[in-house]
Amino acid sequence: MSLEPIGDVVFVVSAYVVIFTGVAVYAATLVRRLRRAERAAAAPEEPAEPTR
Amino acid sequence: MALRVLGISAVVAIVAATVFGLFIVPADVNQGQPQRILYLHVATAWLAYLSFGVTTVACIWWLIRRDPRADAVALAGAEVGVVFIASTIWAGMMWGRPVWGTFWDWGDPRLTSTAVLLALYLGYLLIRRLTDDPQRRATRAAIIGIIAAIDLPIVHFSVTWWRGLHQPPTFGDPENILNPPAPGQFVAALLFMLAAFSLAWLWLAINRYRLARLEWSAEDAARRGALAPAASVAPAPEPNA
Repeated sequence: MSLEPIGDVVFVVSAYVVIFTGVAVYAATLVRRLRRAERAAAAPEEPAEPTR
Repeated sequence: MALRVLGISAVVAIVAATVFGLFIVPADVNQGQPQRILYLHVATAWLAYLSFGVTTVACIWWLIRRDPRADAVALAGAEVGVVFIASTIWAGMMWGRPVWGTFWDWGDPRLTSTAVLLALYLGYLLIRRLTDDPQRRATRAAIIGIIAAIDLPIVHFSVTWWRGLHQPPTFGDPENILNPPAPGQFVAALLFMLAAFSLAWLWLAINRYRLARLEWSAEDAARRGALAPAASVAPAPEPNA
């Protein structure tokens, strides 16, 4: 019995898990920065993060 | 509210497209399981192209009109594009190892030009950190954004201009657009994944644009606040000066 198909599945899982995790982390970071910027806009005395 | 609905729709669509692509559509006879990676690879590649296309148009828009919205659109496109092109490269590597026998080949024009594309847009994002002046930053970034766009057609046509490991376009060939040389289920899975990721792309791009606009406004207000005290203590001009 060959183990090659199991190895192939590892590559498929790696592709999907890493990409989904990456996009989810980016989305979560974006939401957090957006909320912080909205709070800073509502309270102008707080220092705002500069645009980059 | 509409943005929240868009975000939830994107998550639901991606889960459904993944279930369809991984568990419902059969594996390819020749490539086996790794062929399922191509649904992600192609969808993220097309959306990365779209992102960088948006950035290019916005960079030109900025240079012509000096509109802060153009800079925000350009930034949103570049940042989301970097996420998607990095995903494309990762998916390609995971597919390449079992099918080609290698994760990467610097001799392949498509792979190398795509790596250069990622480096160019990372450079676009990094150059924005070199100055705190929003106008100067936007102008410098717009010039870099337009230069980076030169690589877009090179990436796309590299598989027809030069020979390498990467196969020629499957769907981009005019003869194949209406009659793709792939089973209908595979095409459906690809289009499903493309539609799902398009929703995610739109959600990410809109939120990144909103963030850029908020940051620009805050920065502008901070700069005006910093200048105001200096102006208020400046000596009044002599009446006859």
